Formats: sequence, structure tokens, C-alpha cells
Amino acid sequence: MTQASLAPAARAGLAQRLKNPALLLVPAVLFLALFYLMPLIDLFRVSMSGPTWSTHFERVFSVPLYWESLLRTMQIAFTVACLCALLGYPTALLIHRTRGIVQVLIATAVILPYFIAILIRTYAWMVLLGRNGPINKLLQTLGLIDTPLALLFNRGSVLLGMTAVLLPLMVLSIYASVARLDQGLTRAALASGAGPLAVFWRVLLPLTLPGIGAGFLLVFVAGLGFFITPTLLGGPGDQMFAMHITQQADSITGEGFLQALAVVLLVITLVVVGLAGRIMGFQFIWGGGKLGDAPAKPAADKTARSRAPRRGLAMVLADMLGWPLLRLLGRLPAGWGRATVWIMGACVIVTVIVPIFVVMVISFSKASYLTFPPPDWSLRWYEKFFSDSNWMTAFWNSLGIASLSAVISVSLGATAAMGIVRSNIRHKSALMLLLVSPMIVPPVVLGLSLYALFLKLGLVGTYLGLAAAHAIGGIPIVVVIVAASLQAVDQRLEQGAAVHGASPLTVFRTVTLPAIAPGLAAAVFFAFLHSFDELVLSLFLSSPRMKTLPLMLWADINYQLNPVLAVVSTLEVLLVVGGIILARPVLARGRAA
Amino acid sequence: MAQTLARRELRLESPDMQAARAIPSQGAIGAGITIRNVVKNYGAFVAADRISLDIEPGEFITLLGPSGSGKTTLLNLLAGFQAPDAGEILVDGAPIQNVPTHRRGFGMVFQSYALFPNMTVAQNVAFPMRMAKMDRATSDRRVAETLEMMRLSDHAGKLPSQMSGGQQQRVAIARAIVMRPRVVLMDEPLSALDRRLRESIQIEIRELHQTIGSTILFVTHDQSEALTMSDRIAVMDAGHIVQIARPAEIYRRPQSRFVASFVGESNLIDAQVVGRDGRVLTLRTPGGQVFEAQSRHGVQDDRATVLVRPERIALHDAPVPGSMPATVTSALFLGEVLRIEVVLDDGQTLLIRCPDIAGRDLPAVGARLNVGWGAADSWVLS
Amino acid sequence: MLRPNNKATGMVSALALATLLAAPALAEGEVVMQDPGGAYGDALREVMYDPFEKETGIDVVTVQEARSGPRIKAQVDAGKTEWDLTFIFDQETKLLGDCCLADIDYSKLSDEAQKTLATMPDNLKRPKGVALQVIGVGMVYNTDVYSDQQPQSWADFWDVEKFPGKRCMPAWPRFVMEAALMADGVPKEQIYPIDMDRALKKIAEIKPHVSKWWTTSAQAPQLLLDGEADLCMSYTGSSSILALEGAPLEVEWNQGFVYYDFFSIPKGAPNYDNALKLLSWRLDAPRAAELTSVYPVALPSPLVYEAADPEISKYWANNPENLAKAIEWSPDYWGAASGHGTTTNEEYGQEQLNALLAQ
Repeated sequence: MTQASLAPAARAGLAQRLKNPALLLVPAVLFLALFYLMPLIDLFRVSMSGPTWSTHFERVFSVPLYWESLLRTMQIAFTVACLCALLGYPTALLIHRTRGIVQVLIATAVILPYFIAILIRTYAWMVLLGRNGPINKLLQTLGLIDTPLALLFNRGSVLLGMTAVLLPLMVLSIYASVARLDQGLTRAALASGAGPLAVFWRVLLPLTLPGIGAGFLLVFVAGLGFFITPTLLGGPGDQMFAMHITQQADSITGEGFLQALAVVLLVITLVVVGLAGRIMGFQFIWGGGKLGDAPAKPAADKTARSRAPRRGLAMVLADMLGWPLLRLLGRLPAGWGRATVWIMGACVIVTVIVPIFVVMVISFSKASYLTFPPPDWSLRWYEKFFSDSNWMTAFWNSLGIASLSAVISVSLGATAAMGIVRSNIRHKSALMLLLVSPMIVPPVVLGLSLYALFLKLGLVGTYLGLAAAHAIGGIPIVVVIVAASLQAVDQRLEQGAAVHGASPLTVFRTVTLPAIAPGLAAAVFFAFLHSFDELVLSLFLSSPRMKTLPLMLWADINYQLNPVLAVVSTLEVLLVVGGIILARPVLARGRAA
Repeated sequence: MAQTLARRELRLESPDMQAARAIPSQGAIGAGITIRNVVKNYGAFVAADRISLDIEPGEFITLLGPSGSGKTTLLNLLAGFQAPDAGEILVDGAPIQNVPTHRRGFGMVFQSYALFPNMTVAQNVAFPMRMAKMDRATSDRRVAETLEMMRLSDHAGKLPSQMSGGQQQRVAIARAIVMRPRVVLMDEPLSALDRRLRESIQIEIRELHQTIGSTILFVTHDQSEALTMSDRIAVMDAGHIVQIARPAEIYRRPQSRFVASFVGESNLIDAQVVGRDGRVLTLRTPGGQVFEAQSRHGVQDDRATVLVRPERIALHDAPVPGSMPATVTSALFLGEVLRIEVVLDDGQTLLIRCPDIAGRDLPAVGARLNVGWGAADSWVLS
Repeated sequence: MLRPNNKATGMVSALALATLLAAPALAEGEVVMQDPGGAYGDALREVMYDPFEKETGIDVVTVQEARSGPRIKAQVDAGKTEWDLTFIFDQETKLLGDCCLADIDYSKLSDEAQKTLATMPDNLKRPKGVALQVIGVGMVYNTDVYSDQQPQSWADFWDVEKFPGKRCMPAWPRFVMEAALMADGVPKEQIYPIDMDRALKKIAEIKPHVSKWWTTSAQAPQLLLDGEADLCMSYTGSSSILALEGAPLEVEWNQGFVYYDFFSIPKGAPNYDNALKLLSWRLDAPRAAELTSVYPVALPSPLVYEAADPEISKYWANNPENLAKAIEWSPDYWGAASGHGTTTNEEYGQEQLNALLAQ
């Protein structure tokens, strides 16, 4: 887009200006300023539009319903983050320690669900835990219970569902830090006389703590804004804060108060992220390394310095509390540790993959209600899906919007990544933070803030509008992936090409582009998937004419649980699997970068 | 051994070792290690093929070989990172196959340093003491002594990431020896360092060995490192130990073509055996030139490969008895030596290194001259 | 990136395409209608919209939305009305009347519609809205579970000794609070204004026995059929269709609630005239009666009632027999200001109920 505006300029001028890669940041920053920052600022404005600026906020914190829900939300998010860390760690270790086909299988089992829509994974849990679901059926068959248990609509099901949904995030985060570990360290500790437990406690755990911390925060922050899973799996006692926002959106007199709720959620999220960022650096959001950025260095040094005393304290605590505890565990027969890792890892994998599997089986059921195992097999629900014009329209809408959104995300995100990596501008970290920050803003807040803007611009329920809204979340994905692959390109290759007479254009075409092509392809895939799966923003921004697949799913899940939903879920799983298989060589390189 | 001990006496007086001397040796010096018929397979790949090796207590032994020759496997088996498929490993006569790594009480230095990045230098060095539940005072004292010995006292509070590669490796060494272990394993500890640093740490390790007296098993693929440091070198190839001997023996009397070409530069000449006199053979090159060479046992075949080290070949302007005419194909001035390549009239090429002495000019390419060597300068490979 | 022209062209054409796609389909003759979805939505499509499209050539675009009031307000406030015809609560015809709803031009409705309207009381044909469906909320139970003795009143509903079994109720203050007060012995004439504290206290008693607080009309009968609940407060319409199909469900009208949904045209509706045409279509008595044969939610006109099959109309909320047993539900009370901030009684009650349920 930069180029588009520069094209009319004289050739020489163009070449000159192209030399400053910082300009490449302009389109993405403008886009985010208009579609992301401005609406959020407006949200603040409206939230303070009461008789006094604080009227609505006072209500949030004086009505028990809301502040209790706020506490509950934090408590649930915290519990989920703890559960994810507890279960995710052995799983990450398992991926790291296994080899060959076993490793591939375990990694796939964990990562695949990550790419499947949260809505579908939550739906899968509804099927699994339902009265006629496989768990109840199994328990009945085993004779453990007479009447089906009420497994759904309680705190347990919310925690289970959210943990299962967010686990892949945690596993990936921990795995990144485990994989980065020098294998020699474990051996060095062993050779220094440390037993397996000591190796874990003194070496492995402290060194992977940043990965755990990053995963913990990502999960916690995501949990704070969770809406879909608690709505579908929770009872009235499990109301989370984001749900109040959607409920208030159904109130006529809620203007101002509604925005205040959103602002509270947003501010809490930002404070958590801000504190975490100060302690561990903001890179945890995008899971990348530091950018080659001079102004960022002092900050990094500061963190190192400020960490030193804390490490001492942590070590003392670890010595006093954790270690004796572990020593007790150490009395258990050898092999228990390995067994524990395997058992917990296996549980996690089962938790993550089984619901999806059950849904796929149910999609071939003949019964018109959800029951497992299906009494008989048929393709009737597939026929219904493909012959129902509503479903098909929604499907094509989703496809179109996701394609358009991927185009927007990749063109803006990739240029911005170029700008970030290849320019020497100051405040790189701040800019990167801006570019990736949509990842952490609760979608409910984003949707609410966008609704007002979209109404004004007439974008509600349009392809472009939804695609642009989805691109807000797509751009960070693209920026992170493309920036990583750009950083992996050896700049000496580019210099080498230039020395041998290649123009900047040719250098880009012949050296840079081929090198980042895999990353770019991965970015396209993920940006597409992000939009294809997006529900919460769509809930706010759709219109009568514009139903996307997730919206149809959402409506149906709320109205009637039928096997057509299982069909859609199965098709989505196939789409993701197909995409990953096609993109696998590409992803492997992209991930490595 | 006697020679080594003598040198140890001598070295003790070096100023660097003043500190080292303050460390009370635990009396028990290094352990003897016996490796018997050890086998280790990775699938179809045989990494260690019935290896047997006896290591004297306190010996500095180097496993030398190209990558994939099995030297790291052998080290890992000793360390307990892997278990042998067959055979046994004894330390001071006791089998250790069933002793887990952390109970073997060895020290180990890794190529990648493997310092714990979350601990300071002092904490890294103290780690083995902590694992051994040494009391705090002893531990602190030992750490301080060891750091001083490795000239690291000023860096005790630093994190590994704040130090240079050479410093980091010295920390790693300190960590490996702080317990005065019976055995120290070193896995290519110097390969990540630049040449000058490598040489200075080589000397340090050597001196350290003499001070603490542990048995050191050192793995490297660098032949000059092996020659410099070891009491004995075990040259490995394809899962076997092909020769084990003192460095000079390895260099001068290699067992095989492989050892000859892996250790040092070599001229290998295929020749016909025309006469035998005990261990001295008379040989004839394809070009008809006749010369004498030493052999270990004498050779039964009538063909043999003869090793002549480049520095053992003499240059003559005029023919002398036993010399052969040759044509210079390349001549380089390397500083302390001249490096000259010649081709004999029968097409055999020879590499020659001769000292840069007064009155000798670098010969021109194409110049004719005569080359020769004595029976003591050539060695028949078995 | 370094092929600016190509890429720029690509971007521009993508944007142009997007703009084309973004432009609303300006096909002549369409009407955007809010839709309840589920089985009711299917029935409307089949009986009402498809024939309407065939006859008039006007496309009926339906949008599933349980509650439209806030959306209407937001759309009208922003000057971007999307809907032509919506159904809203009784009280919302007043709350939203001035700001957001257009006057219905009754004179432009068809003759058939005029005939139907003539039989309806004035209160149901307001300038800002016309009552198009009469809705009943009552007790629905599983006849297999309660085969000997059936619950008759909200007091029975609350009596878990006499009628053991799981309950389900809507997660709304309306109906639930009234029922709680009746169960607590308040005579039905004295229910309004509601003593919320007393109602909440009574709700707390039944709360442990409620397996699900439902939010959409299809949920209650589904819960009953799945065995997740045995006795529910439910919409009579969605339950009776299942009873008519032979499911083991029965509706108890005693102390049930009857109210009306109003159809309104938002201010600035893009297709005002088409909205009136669709309204006329739906007010046609024989057609409205036909709709009830597929989904028993009735149009509150005696004309429609007479045209319907009595087997079906026995489930109608405006069946005089049912009406006699039911309570006249007060939309006015729920729409009135609560005295707590800017909230209505309904919003305040919702907060209170949510807080109770969250415990």
C-alpha cells in the first residue's frame, strides 16, 4: 500500500524513499489506528459519559453481581492457568523427549486442536459431557452409576473446557523454552551428581520458568476475556465478566455502563500484561526473541539486574519448601517420575483430542439427537448440511470473508514486519507491541468498541467490514510469523546479492522472498484460519445478510444441539488437517525460524 | 609414567600452581578404568564394537578420531548417559553399569560448556558440592580455592552469559574438578574456542591434571591437541580402538594407514619389498629407487606401505647415496618452515617440511633436486 | 514488496472487489425481518415467507436474534437502520417508541389485515407496534414422571417433596419472580409491584433443584425430552408443538402468563413499504391460522382463533379456557424505572437474579 501511494512519484524519488523501510509500517499502523485504537479510545469516552465520569464505574464496583463476577473471572482464569501449567509441562517434556513417529503423533495431538475453532472444541465438550454423551454412557455400561450424571453447566465443566481449550497454548509456550534448552545442561547436572529430581528442580524448572511464565500469562489473559466456553459450559454460578458485557449489550439503558464494563475488563487485562511485560519483557506476547533495537537494551539490562535479588529469594523459598517436598517424592521407587510424565501427558492428549474424535464420529450418526455411540450410521446430516441453503451461504460467506481478511492481514502485516525488522527506527519495541497487542485485548471488548464505529461507517454486516475486523487479530499473527522468518534470513546473503549487482528489487525477489516464502505461506494460512473461526467479533458486527459459519454454529448450539453441528465441526477439522498437511514443510521452517 | 611424574615435580614450581598446591589432595588420586568388550549399537549403526581399554589410575588418556568413530559414545557410556548393549565397565575394579550417572562421582566438561545460565559462576561451581550435601563452610572454601586455581575469583558473582567463551569453559572445568573426582570426562572441551585460547587452556588442563591427579578421559578430533596433552592416545575408527600408545609412538610408529594419515601430515609410499634384515626392510619404489625402512615385526607380504613424515625428508642439491631425483611442484614459505611439494620421476608426490635455515632459498617451481631419508626416518605400516 | 506496481494493482482490485461486495444487495424489493429461529423460524419460512416471496417478488431476509430492542436503538442512534420489521416486548413499544420506532401506517395495510385488526382490542394495535403473537409461559412437565399426580400451581412447582424431580426455569426475572411470589402465597392480584427481595428469597429455595436456567425458548422442551429436567417453566408454544407430536409432555395453564409480542418498524427502516406488505401478509387470518398448525403461536385475533383447528388451538395462549386460568402479566411494571440508576425494573431484577444465581 505504501508502494501504491508512492508509485506516482518520480523513479529516483521512489527508489530513494524505498530505502527507508520504516515507511512500510505506515499502512498497518494507520489501519490499526483507525480500526483498533480509535474505537477503544471511544469506548473510554462513552464509559465516562455518565453524570460524572465515574458514575458507571462506581456501579461496576458497587453492585455485587459485577465485582463478584470480576473476582470470579480472575479466579477462574487463574485456576485454568494453573491447571494448564500443571498439565502442560509434562506434555511439553513428553514431546521433547520422545522421538520419531511418537513425537510427531503427540505433537500433532496437542497442536492440531490449537487451530480448531474454540466454539467447535467447546461444542465437543458439550457432546462429551452431555447426558447421553460417551462419558455417562461409559459409566452406565460399567455399572458405576444408574442415572446419568449432570456433568455439564457447573464450575467443573467450565474449568475443564477452558483448560482443554487453552492447553495447546501453554504446551507450545513451554515446549519452546524446553526445546531451546541445551541438552548438555541436563547431562552436566547429572554428571555433577544431581539425581533426576534435582536435575528437574535445580536446572530444568528454573530454566523453563520463563516459558511457563509466558504460557501462564497468555492463558490467564485469554481466560480473563473468555466468553464462548463459559457461556456454553457454565451454569448461572459461573458467569464470567465478558458474559456480562454481552448481556448488557442486550439492555436498552445500558449505554455507558456497558462500555464501563468493557473498559474495566480491558484495563485489568492491560495491567496484568503490563506488569508481566515489565518483569519478563513484552516478548512473551509474541513468544519471540528481542528485536535488534538499541533503546530496548537498557530495559533488558534493568530486568536482569532487578531479577537478581528475586532469584535469591526464589531460591531460598525453593530450598525451604519445594525441595524437601520433592525429596519425599524421591523416596518413591525410581521410574515413578517417568511414569508420572507419561500418565499426565497421556491424560492431556486424551483430553485434547478425544472430544474432537467423538464429534467426528457423531457426525455420521443416524439419530437426530446427540447420543454416543450412535445407534446407527448415515450421511444424512452431511446431506442436510450441503443441501441447506443457509448453511451453504454461511459457508461461502466465511470463505469469502476469511480470504479477504487474509489478504488484508498479510499485505499489512508482512509490510509491517519488513518495516520492523529492516528499519532502524527508534521505539521498535513499542511499535511491535502495538502491532501484536490485539492478541491480548478481549474479543468482547474489541467487538463492542467496533460496533459503534462500524455503524457510523456502514460496515456492519459487510464483507469488507468483517474482514477488516478479523484482520485486526490477523495482523499480529502475520507480523509475528513474517518477522521471525525475516530475522532468520541472513542479511549477508542480501548484501552479497547487492554487491554482485542486484537492484533492491531483484534482491528482494531472488533472495529475501524465497527465504521468507514459507513463513509468508504459513501467515496466509493462519490469518485465513483466524478469520474463518472468528465468532465473538462477528456476533457484534454481523447483520441479517451476513451470517458466517461460526455464527450459524453459535445460533444452533444455543437453540438446539443437532448433529449438523458435528458435521460442520468435522469439516473444519478436515480443513485444518488438510491445511497443516499442505503447509507442513512450510510450517516446519516457519516454526524453526 | 616415570617421565610424567618427573615433569609433574618440575611443573609444581610454576607460579600458577602456587594456589593449586594449597589444595589438599584427597589422597585418593585417579581411579583405574577397565573397559571390557563394550558394544553399543544405534539401530544398524555400530558405535562401539567390542571395545576394550585399560586406563591407569591418574592417567590422561585421549580418545582421538573423526566424528562418528565412537569416541563420544564411549565417553557417554562411561558417564552413564547411555548403557552398553554388552560388555562391562569397571572403575577401580567395580562394575558401574548399574550405577546411575549422578552416583558415579565423575566430573565432566562439555563442548558447549553446559553452564547453568540461571546460576552465577560460584553457584555453578558449587553445584556438585551442593548435590553431595557438603557442608556450607567446606563447600565455600573449596569453591573459592578452585576458582582461584582457575583464575576466576574475580568473576564469582557473574552469570555465565556475561563471560567470554574461554572464561566459561574455565568455569566448566572448575565445576568438573571441584569435588576432586576420581575421573574427569572431557568431551571436546576446547573445540568451540579460538586457536590461541585453545592452546593456553590445553596447558592449563595439563597442569591441572598433574595437580589434582584425577584420571582424565579426554575426547577430541584434533590430533595436535591429543599429541600435546595426553599420556596415551587411543585412536578410534568405526567403533574400534585402532591403536593405543604414547603420543610419540602414535606419531612415529602408527599402526595403520588410517592412524598415519589421521595423526599429522604423512607421505605414504607403496613399494615392493626386496630385502629383509630383521626389522629393517629394503624396498623398491615403482620408479626403481631403493630405500630402507623400519618396521615393527617385519612384513610377510612383498608389498608394503611406507610412512615418511614430511620433516624427515632431507633436500640435497646434488645426488647422495640413497637419494632420489625430484621436481619441485610447489614451494611455500610458512615462517619457521618451508613447505615444498615435489614429484618423483615415477610420479609419486612427496610433501616436505624443512626448517628455514640460513643459506637455504625457497626452490623455484620446476627446479630439480634430490630428496632422501634414512631407514630410521621411514616406517612400514602393517 | 519490491514489485510495487503489481502488488498495488492487486491491492486495489482486492479493495474494489471488497467494496462491491460490501455494498448492500440493492435488489428491488426485500424486507429484513427479525426471526426467532428454531422450529418457529422454520415454520415462518415455510408458511409465511416463501409464499410471500413467490407472490410479491419481495425477498424476505431473516436475521436470527432473540432480542432486538438494544440493536434497534444502536442502529437508529447511529442512523443506520438495517431492520424493517422486528418483534419487541410490550414495554419496549413505549421505551423505544419515541426514539427509535416508526409509526405504523395502518391505512396502508391490506383489506384482509384490516379485517383481522378490526377484531383486536385497541391496546394491541398501537401507533408504534401491533401485537402479532400471543405468547404463553406456563408449567410444562413430563407426563411419564408425573403420571399419578400432576403439578397444578407454582406452589406445587416449588414443592419438591410432593413432586420430586429436576426443574428448569428461564434465567430471567420476568415470570420467575411472579411465580415465586405465587408459590410463596401472594394472591395473584397483589403480585405487582413485585417485592423483589421476597421473590428472590423464594427463588433461592428452588435454586438447588433447578438443573438449568434456560435462555432460549427451544431449551426447556429439549431439557424435558433429554431427561435433564422433569418440570419446567417454559414457553407454551415450543412445548405444545412437541406435545402435539406425541412427546410425553403436558402444559399446565393454571397461573401461567400471557403476553404479546409486538411487531414494530424501526425508524429509518430501509424498506418501510415492504415491511407493511409483510405485516399485512401475516395479519391475514386464514394464513395466520395455518401457521399455528405448524407452530402453535397464535395471532391474538378471534378471527384467527375461529379459523384454527380446535385440537391445536387448545394449546393457544388466547384460548379463553387457558386465558381464564392465566395471570395477566404486566409489561408496564417491568418496563418502569426501578429507581436504581437508569435501570428499568427488568434490568434491575435481572441483576438481582443473576447475583442470586451466581452464588
